[in-house]
Amino acid sequence: MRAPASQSLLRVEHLGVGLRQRQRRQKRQHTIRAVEDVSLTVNAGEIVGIVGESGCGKSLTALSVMGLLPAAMELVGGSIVFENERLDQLRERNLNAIRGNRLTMIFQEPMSSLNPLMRIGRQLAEPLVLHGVSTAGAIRERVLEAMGKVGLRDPETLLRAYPHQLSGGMLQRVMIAAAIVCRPRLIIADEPTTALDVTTQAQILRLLRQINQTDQTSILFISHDLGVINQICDQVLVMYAGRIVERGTVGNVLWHPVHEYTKGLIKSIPTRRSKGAPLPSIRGRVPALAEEKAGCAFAPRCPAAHSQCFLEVPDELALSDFHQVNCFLADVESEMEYVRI
Amino acid sequence: MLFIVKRLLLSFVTLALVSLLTFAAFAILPGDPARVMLGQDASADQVAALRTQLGLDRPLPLRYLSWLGGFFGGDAGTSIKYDLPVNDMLADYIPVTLALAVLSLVLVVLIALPTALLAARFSGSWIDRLVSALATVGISTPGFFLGVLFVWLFGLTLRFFIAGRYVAWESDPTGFFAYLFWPALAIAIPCAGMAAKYLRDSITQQLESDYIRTAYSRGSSRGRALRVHALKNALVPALTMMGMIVADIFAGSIVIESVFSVPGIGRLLVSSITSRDFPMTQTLVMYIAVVVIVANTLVDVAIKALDSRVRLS
Repeated sequence: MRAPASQSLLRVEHLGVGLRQRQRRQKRQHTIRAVEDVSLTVNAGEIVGIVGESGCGKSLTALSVMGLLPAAMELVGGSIVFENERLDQLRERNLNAIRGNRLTMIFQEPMSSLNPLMRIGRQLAEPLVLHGVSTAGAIRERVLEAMGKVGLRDPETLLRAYPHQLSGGMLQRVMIAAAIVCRPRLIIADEPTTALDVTTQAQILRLLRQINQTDQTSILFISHDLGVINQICDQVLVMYAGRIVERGTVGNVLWHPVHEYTKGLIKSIPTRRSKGAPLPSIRGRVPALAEEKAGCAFAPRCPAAHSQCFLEVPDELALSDFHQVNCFLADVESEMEYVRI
Repeated sequence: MLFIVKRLLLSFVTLALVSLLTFAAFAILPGDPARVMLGQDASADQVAALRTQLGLDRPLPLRYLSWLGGFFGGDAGTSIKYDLPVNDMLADYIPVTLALAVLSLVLVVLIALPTALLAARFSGSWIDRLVSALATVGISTPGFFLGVLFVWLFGLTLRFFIAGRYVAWESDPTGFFAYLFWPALAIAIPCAGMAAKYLRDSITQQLESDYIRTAYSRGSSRGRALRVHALKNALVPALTMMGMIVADIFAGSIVIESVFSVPGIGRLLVSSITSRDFPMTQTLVMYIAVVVIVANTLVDVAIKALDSRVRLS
């Protein structure tokens, strides 16, 4: 179902996000890095997932693309190119012409992400109003169209409702409707199903997949849930402690993981077979932002780490065109084996 | 409907408590109105005669009950000091104070709203710090000091108004408001400082919420997100404060009216307490309580109108 090989829609290169610090004659390298050297590409029509534990920098990566980093954070290098425009260098006014229009975002908490005192209708119309659709008739038509796409029934009642009158699942549909109302090229979905119950979660995922397929809208999908990533994504990036540790197509990364961290994540998914047995988990914890990280950040938790892992940061190793890993333990041969089979 | 009934009942309880407290204060307060009226040279017999004439020889609880019955029956008794029906006198005095209070309230909003918006829009900048500093100075400056300062600076030195020459509404409506502007400003500044600080904090807090981030993600500018999204949400808690500010304004007018010789109920209250004029003081306190209760009810209704999640109960 992949779109034919095309120019990349979003290209992030060597992105770094750091904690903003008061300049008290501090050297630049002392800036605490939350995201380091993250590169990713989203092609037209593609769903790319970013997966990792909380605090690994996946949301910050998403927010930097949108230019919505929290006040305490700042970009410390790299480039973000969306449709041939350097988003990281745009003035806020020009960025605002893109945000909500060709590039939109869905957030984790639909309940708090909508203005509690504004009717749903006005909130759905907002992106259109901000991006040049001015006649009431056209706005109404587009809003109803978007509501139909996300399966919101009884639009008349809904348009007049306030957010507190709707369920979480419906609110997330409203958020998605607002995100597609301007027919964007790319939607960034930051854990869009985490706050929802399992049934609703499945519906929302199906909906996103559907939007992706019918409108060829690309999605950058952030999740901590490998199962969800497996269901919806074409490509996946595994992040750990602010860096990408493994990337590739979902089939390669999730079914033939190479990095010990990815393996650990997959092992800790509960399955029917593991019922009753204690759930395996990765020992240790994610290092805090301020901790000094020499070598591979995962080394202290890695069951197979050797001395080199504690001294140097591994470079990316291309196992194939569809699978890359940042690990000293991986070698090209291991990948070739299963590719041949 | 149930809300209105409940509110009315609650208001009556509040009023009863207020009257009881005033009564208790009078029971403790030393001093005798007859002695105050007749002066130190009067003989004990004269004082006793006047006391009987004014009905002051009856025990205080009895006087309280008869006043209470009268107040709710529409007759608040006769002023001891002026020997006039209290309600007739108040008909002249209350409008003046109400005008002063409304003017103060308008000034509070006119000062607090723009400064709070400005500070919140540029939070963390020098503008924000300046507003915060000015607000703190405003809050910590007592109204009576501002009153005296204004009389000296704008009245006596710069001659923007003639100090002490109150202009009645009947003779010159424009002059009336022009004169009231200065005492209203003196009352408004401490309240405006408080309101500005509170509203600014409320807005900045709202600006950090998720739905503001959503607005930015849709391409909304900072100024628009503040105006369209944050302000209304920030006004809900700020409105609650307006109820308190109304009480503050009345408290402020008590002293300020004396400073500017405004013939309102504030000044009347001070003189009634000094002359131990029980019916007058009691009635004034009740009316002020009524105004504060009404203001708070209006605030609740306004909040309900803004935020449909709020249930009035």
